Amino acid sequence: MTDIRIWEGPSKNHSGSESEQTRRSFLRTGAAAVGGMAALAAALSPLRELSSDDVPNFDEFLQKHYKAMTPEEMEAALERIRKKVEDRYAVRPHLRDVKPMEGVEFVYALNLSRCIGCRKCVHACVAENNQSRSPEIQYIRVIEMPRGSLDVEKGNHHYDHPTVPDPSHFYMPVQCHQCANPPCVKVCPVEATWQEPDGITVIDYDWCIGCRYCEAACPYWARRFNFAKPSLPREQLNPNMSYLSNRPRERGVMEKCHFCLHRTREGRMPACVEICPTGSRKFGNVLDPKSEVSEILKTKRVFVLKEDVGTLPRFFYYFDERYPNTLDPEAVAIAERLKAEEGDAYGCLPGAAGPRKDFVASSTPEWWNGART
Amino acid sequence: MQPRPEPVPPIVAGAVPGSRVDAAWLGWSLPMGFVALAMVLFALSRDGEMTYAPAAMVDRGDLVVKPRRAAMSDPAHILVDGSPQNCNGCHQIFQSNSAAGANLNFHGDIRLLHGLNNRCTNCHDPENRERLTLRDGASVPFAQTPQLCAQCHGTVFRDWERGTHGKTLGSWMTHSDAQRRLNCNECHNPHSPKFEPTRPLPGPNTLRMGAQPASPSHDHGQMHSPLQRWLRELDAAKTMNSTSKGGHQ
Repeated sequence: MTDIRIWEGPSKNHSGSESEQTRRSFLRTGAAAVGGMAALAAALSPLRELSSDDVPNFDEFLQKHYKAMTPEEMEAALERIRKKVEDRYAVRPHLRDVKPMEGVEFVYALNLSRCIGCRKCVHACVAENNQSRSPEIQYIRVIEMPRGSLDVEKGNHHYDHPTVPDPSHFYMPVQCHQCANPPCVKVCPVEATWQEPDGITVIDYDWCIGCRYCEAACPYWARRFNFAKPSLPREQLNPNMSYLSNRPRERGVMEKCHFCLHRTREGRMPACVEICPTGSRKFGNVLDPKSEVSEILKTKRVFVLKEDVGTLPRFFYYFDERYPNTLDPEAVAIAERLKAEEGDAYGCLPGAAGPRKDFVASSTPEWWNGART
Repeated sequence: MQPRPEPVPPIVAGAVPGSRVDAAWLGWSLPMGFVALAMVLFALSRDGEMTYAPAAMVDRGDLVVKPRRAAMSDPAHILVDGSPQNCNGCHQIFQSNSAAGANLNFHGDIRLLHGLNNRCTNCHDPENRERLTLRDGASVPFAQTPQLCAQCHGTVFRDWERGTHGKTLGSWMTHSDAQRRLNCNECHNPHSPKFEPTRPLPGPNTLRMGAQPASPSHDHGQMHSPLQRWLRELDAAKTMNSTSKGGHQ
């Protein structure tokens, strides 16, 4: 029988040795207590890295959830954030809480035939949304995919060609798809992320506890976590901010694309749409039948990523077809008229013998052929 | 009063389990272990400074929102030795050959790579060089380029009118005055409409972590993708296995 007794207590049997036993036990217990305290202090030692800037003050600690705040409380919270930004970056931000517009549901469409993989959208987004520069946080991933496949497993976002597009690849940028059935919202244990009436899934950065369940739940790898304190040079701060979008984040919170809601809810384009040099990126109100995205959904061949997981994304990919869309009577009529007038040479209809070209009355230049092989 | 028992002599570990001295030794080891752990944790926490990949170097000039190229003004003019000259100033004197195509004596900056459409006067009005001409002979100003392009690129023009081709700036609101759809020649060079390959901006930070090859090689991107590298190693191992099996047979 193993008999380990840390505290043996006063011995009744050996009264002569009572004081000695007590001293030894006292020292042992004291050492255990000191060691335990030291271990506790060591375990808490990361707290030493906190500066007063990181620790929430009393008002911040008691700040309510975004949806529970009264307008006065929201204004107070905004003022606190303004002051914090001013302290950190010496810039007075134009910070407000932009509400969704009535009768608007935002939808994004991206033309895979036109994207050249230049990554301008990635960096325009970083500049617009005050992401951490180092460690680096980017909302958009441009995936380079081999032509003839839509298997994302074959994709590579680390491509580093001297020039793009690479002739043997196409490019598929991925960002938050603002799903109508968002798994990230379902898994959040504290309701720090939710879907707004205009379809944008937002995060209350002050309510997020950093559990990263949403990051695991997202099938599009759209959410980014601030593992470290975000670093952002003062001169690169974008002072045009809103509460739910691009105000500076803290360490330990999740963030993601929010369709630049501080711009789009005021009628402007998202930063990635504005910077795109090819016009691949299209954005608009799907409830407006004349909007560009409505036209795309009506007239183009559209697909969503990972349709089978049932997330109902509001982010659509589409192609320009070299053949006319056989579902579009107007396009078929044009193609048939051209075929009747000018023969089969332009390959306007499926199965035509001619080169698969747009309705361009031109031959194929040599350098084009060279680039394809 | 009973005599105190003699202390058990020192023993080797495990020799007499449950003996008094063994228990004391273990009792002391616990706080000592805590202290050692505390020291280790303290020491480690001091080395806790993480280094991150440096921030991507992006020229802010690359992120300025503007049309891809400056379209020809209307009425058209060009810069000769830095001073603007209108077209007819020269072309009233120098009548150019209407059959002139890609081999131009003047306008040396023009690379004509527009497929079969390789005659100046297919688009330019031979009577008035500050205007364009349609196939039916109508003369249109440079501002109406889409109308000219639409003669051949019918479906693209239709898409552009709908907004499914081309770029829109200003606002997503269809009724907004701020919304502006760029014309054909604000993105495409009419003489060489296909986009030139461009230099991509820096990729995700994994590209800048650790050692880099001296020069971007063909499979540079793949080398820095851990998944791709792993797959390649797997493929290489499979190939080796199959060849070694083949050697035995």
